[in-house]
Amino acid sequence: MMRILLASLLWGLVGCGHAQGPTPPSEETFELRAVVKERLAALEAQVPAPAPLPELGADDLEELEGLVTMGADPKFAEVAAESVREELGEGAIGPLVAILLDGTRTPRVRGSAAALLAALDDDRASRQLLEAAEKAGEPWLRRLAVYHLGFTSADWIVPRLLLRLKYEKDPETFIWLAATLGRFHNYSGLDALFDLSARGATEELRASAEGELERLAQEAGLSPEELNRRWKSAEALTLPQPSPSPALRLELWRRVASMGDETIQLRGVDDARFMLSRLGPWAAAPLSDALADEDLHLRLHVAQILARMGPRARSAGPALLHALAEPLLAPNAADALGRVGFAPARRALELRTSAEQPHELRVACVRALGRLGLPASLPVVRAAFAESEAYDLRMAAATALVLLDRGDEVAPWLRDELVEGQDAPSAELALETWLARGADRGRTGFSEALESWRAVQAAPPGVTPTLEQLAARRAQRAKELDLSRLLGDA
Amino acid sequence: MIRTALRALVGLSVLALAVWLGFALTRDPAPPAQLTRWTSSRDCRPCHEEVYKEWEQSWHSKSFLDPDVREQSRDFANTDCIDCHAPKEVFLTGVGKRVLPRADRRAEGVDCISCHLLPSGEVAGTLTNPSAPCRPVATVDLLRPEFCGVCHNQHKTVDQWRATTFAEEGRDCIDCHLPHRGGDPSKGRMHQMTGGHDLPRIQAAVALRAERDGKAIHIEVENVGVGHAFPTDERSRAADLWWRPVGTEAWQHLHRIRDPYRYETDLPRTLLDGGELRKLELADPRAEGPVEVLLVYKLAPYYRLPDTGEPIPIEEVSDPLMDAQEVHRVLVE
Repeated sequence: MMRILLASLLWGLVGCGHAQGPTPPSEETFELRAVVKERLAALEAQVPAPAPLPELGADDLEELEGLVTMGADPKFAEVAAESVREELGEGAIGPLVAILLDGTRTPRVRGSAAALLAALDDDRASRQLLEAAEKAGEPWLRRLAVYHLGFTSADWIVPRLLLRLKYEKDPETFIWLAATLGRFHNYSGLDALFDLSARGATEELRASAEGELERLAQEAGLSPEELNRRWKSAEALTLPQPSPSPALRLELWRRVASMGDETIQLRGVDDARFMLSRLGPWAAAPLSDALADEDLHLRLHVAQILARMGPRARSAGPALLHALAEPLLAPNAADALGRVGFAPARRALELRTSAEQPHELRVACVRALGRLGLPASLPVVRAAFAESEAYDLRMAAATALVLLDRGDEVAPWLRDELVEGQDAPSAELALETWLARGADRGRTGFSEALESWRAVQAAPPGVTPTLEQLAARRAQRAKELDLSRLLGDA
Repeated sequence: MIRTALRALVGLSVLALAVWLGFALTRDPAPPAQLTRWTSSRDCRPCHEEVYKEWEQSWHSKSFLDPDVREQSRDFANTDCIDCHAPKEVFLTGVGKRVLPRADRRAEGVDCISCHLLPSGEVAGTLTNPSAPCRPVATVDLLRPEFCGVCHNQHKTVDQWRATTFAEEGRDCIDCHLPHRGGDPSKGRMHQMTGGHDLPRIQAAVALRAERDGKAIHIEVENVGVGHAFPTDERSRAADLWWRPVGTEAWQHLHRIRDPYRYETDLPRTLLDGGELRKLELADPRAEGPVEVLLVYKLAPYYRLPDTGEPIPIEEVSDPLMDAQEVHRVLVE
């Protein structure tokens, strides 16, 4: 009897011990399959290949020339467009493209050809306009092409227009990129409009950017700032939602496929990550499906893309949560769960911080818990910080505690790490975040401390400091940071 | 009966001895070490102090902390850069495949684990030794240019090497960048992996010659010691040729050697390919007297004012050495 009692007591003690820390997650299966190939095959069957264009006869060509000239006059542009649509139709596409690209023609005539191509609203015409938007050497032609594309129904151009936000150099073209993207309910161009309206090189440019910003906001029934805020938050779903055509979905899957392990060069992968992460909330669903693809490169990059979409991709939360069961994907899934802000993942992330889990996953989960910012995670994050042998985990936990508003607990350790630490830049970043949050909350002395902190610079603004200058900056900041004064307020 | 028992006993003893001998002769000299779960390349230091110190001095160890990289990536807000600046193990995805970005140990950059950890948990090395704590496994893939190419061929360095005589002669990445210590294979390979930050290496890579022919000056710049283009890093490296009449202060720009950024579609590729000799002519009325010709190497493609960091157009630069390293200087009488 005594033995049974002792055994029960021991069992109870062991059980209590487990209850204090996270227990390992239960085994969950994660099935991989050729998701991308399946989706591509299905959509390619739905989206017909472009039919060859018929040729116009000599009389029609002559008539087209007249309509292009007529369309160059704004008073007759609409009449010319209607005539081309009704009388010449798709046969006009080839000759209009020839006029558009003919450098011997006047800009007005070429502009008229661009407008007429858009008026036809045919994918073959839109493809030519898009090529002009991407490749034309003359900025005015790129502007026109981008502008007129906004009056077509070709939503499949959106990913490629998003990529122009990365490569375009002409400031005015950015305005029309933002406008056309806005017509397809994509607001990734707003940042460029805000920038140009505040810092554009000319008064005309600033006014033009501001006007487009106002127009887009008015259409959405919001202020420009509120529209931008919602676009970058989970509330993006409250904005008007597009119904992506099969051609747009095909474009998405083609870009996803381009990130597979057969692609060696990162350029294409970088481009795909850039454009896909700027799509609207609708993209979260197909991207979630791609998390189960058999190609590791591909599913990992998709997790990165969801992470970069941030809260706009919060609907991918359940798929990312499930992806924690795939060992090679789990760290990136954890990171994405934190960045999209999927609170129901808290417990699953906590369970994966336990000692028997892979180190990379533990670090990613602790970081994600910090980003989720839920006070219930404090015991687990504190336990990770207490684990002194795993430096990387400790730094991740210290940063997470700052984000969980418990920076006071780790500030002394972070300050020591500024000088001697293996990862002093992370310590510096975490301390600055702690000071900034304290200043935002009006804590005594934090605003002054933050100001002094930022006054200590390694090199003049704009000059890239050396590693030695950076180390000197950190040492100076550590020296000047009066923690006894700041923590007295805690 | 006794004799039978004795025979059985002797037989059993012989059998036991044979079993013991068989076991003793066939088993490994030491039991295999338990697999270690690596959480940092610092874990390698106790046994590999010399290599670790060399790696610490290398730019591989600074690939995540290097201020230039942090500035160009906006402190890695551009997460595209993490793929190669803090990669997961090369052997996870395989030699010849792209590396993937990792979530931990980022401050360690391209570290021991990135290059040596195998998916089995053992480490790739020169010799197989199951009893060593890190369980090294002889892995020839470590020596292949394609191994380095998972990152460095993003800038076409391995492709450039393939087009040189270095490739024909079998001289590859590690022969120049990870040579044996003191030239002795028994001492292992040096892990500083020097390259574009190492001035003597750059000076040995190119030759600069200049001579007068009447009013003109013929200048030759030749890639004499590099098994790939000079420079090789598309994104940020550049070399410039400058000249000035002796006794004057301001340098005049003559020629740029560089591969432009992917969006600089209006600029030509002027890299000096392996073994290439480029001939230039300087015909300028100001060059009729003695002239100095200067070749400089740059870790960033633009020139910046030293006090403000403000980039300035190359036409406005009068002192290239304010933001570049001198490689060679030639005096033409």
